[in-house]
Amino acid sequence: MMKMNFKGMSLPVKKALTGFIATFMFALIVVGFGLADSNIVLADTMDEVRQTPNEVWFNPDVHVCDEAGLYTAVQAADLNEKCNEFSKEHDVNVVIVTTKWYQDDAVNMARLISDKRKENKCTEKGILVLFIDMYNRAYAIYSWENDSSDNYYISQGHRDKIISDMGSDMSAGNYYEAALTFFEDSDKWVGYRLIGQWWFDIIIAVVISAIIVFPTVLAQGGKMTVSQRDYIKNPGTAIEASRDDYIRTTVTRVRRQSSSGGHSGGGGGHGGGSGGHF
Amino acid sequence: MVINHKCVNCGADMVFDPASGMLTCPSCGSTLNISDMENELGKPEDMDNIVFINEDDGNDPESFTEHEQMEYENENKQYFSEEDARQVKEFHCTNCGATLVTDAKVVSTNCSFCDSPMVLGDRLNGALRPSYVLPFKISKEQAKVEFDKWRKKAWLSPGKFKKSARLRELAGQYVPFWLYILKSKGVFSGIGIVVRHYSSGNYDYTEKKYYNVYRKFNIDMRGIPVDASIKMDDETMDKLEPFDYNELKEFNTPYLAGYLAESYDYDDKELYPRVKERAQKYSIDFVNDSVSRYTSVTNRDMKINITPERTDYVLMPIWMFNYNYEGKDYMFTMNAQTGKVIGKPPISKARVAGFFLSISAIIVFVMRLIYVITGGSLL
Ligand SMILES: [Zn+2]
Ligand SMILES: [Zn+2]
Repeated sequence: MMKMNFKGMSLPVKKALTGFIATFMFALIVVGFGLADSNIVLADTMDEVRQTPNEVWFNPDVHVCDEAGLYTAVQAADLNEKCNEFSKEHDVNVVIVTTKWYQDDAVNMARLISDKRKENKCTEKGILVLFIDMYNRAYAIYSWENDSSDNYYISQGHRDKIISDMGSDMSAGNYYEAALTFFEDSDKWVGYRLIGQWWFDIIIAVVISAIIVFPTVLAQGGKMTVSQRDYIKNPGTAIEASRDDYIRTTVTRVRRQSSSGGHSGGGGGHGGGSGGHF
Repeated sequence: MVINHKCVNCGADMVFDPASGMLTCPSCGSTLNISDMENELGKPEDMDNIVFINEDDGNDPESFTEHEQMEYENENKQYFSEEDARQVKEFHCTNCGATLVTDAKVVSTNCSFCDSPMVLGDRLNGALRPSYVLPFKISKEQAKVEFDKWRKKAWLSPGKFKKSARLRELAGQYVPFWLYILKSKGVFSGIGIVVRHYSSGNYDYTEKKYYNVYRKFNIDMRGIPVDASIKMDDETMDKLEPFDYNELKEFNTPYLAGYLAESYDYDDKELYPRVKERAQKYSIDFVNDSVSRYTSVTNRDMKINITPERTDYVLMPIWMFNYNYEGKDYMFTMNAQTGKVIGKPPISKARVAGFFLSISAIIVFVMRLIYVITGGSLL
């Protein structure tokens, strides 16, 4: 332990020493912050990131991969349990990945995770990814399914809705609560189709019934049953001249819907991502 | 001249019998074949074959000249003023001698004292003489049976309507019609488009082939009927069609015996705009049939020239039902040749609601079925 005796020192010396200590402390703070910052950067370039895929992210058996440390151990365990339940109930492999340093578009990363999991023989019929990137303060949801029945899929509109529902908790740093919202909404909308929704079925049924019933009620009074065929007599009637001259042909082409989504492998299936910032 | 046919056998009043098509005595059953009887109005001036059904071009009458056409369409002289129509006329019953007062348009009625059938021959002469009559084919008894069948089919009406509706009046009546023969000539042009869809690779293709379409047509329309009675609802009369013109008879008074009949309120010229409108519609329908191979036809341009070729004054048979149900009157009209019924029955709100709900339930069920088949859960 070094003892310093300021008493016997002259005033200019004291001043110089105080200045030195202050400067030293300031430098220490600066260096300390610098060191702390350099700890976050695990990869220097994007290429490096892509060349070192995190096996954990892409492993179909891992559901929560919290590299950014957004959840406590208890929360992470709870989310993992929820992922398991969701996967069993909906036949959709659900995964939550957080990162501190990823520098690419979050939606692309979520898609990459989905693709890699499928390559790694993910057995579920659909894959649902929540990806949180603390570096860009971005998060994304990616939904993918094997066939085009929509049974394991969350549509664009609903993905956007989930992103916006999570928004306030994400901004406030309540990452666990945001994840709960993610589960709640996804549970509601995975495999959601308009047909099969009671309100939609009933509206369609009422509209079609009205189209059938009103003319039927009006027809109770009897209706016109003659047409031109009853009064036009053939021998005196003729098309005296007719021409059907070909002019031109136009062809328009549209890329088929089912092949969108940008997926390698497997026909039919589709996927899509939605993302936002917080 | 009041015409009343007495049975030579028993002296009772003879009436027209729809079942046999003969003048029949209701008391002793003796009959008279009307086509063998002398026409009490005298021989008609020029009676062609029944041109409405004759499809042989040999009978095609000459078209109007342009001048005649103009005259025809513009001359709107009314044969009778409304005053005439309301004017009442007197005559004496040949059976009981009572003085009867009727509307000037009535040409056949029953004596209100002795119920004898009276045909008023004076009102059936000259311009008022019908060319043809379509005799009643459905008798009063049959009409009731047919109407009950129709009521059973009125499944949106209250069940009580069938049981508790009271028939207040059932009257057989000949309604004046004009039958028109028209020529419709014209040209049609447009752009016809044939659309074909196909797929190749990852693309869906829509191919459209365009054609210049041209048609020159000459249409022969025969027997378009237009009712000439003020009292009759035009829409109802139109809905009673079709009438089978094969059964038209050259007009003779015995066909009216026992039925009500009135002469026309509008002549063929006054009604021409109505038939012209129909002829135009039919011309368009005819041309549409001839371009039906196109998916759609745009840039349509059509010139139609309708010319009348012949008109005939004809009497058509109908039964009029007046039913009272829960204090309200319901009118029904039946084509007395075909049995077709026109008229609005009372509608049961409960039945309409039930019908509506059944259809809705079926649709919801089908949609749910589709949903479940494609992997959705039942509830
Ligand atoms: Zn007799
Ligand atoms: Zn009398």
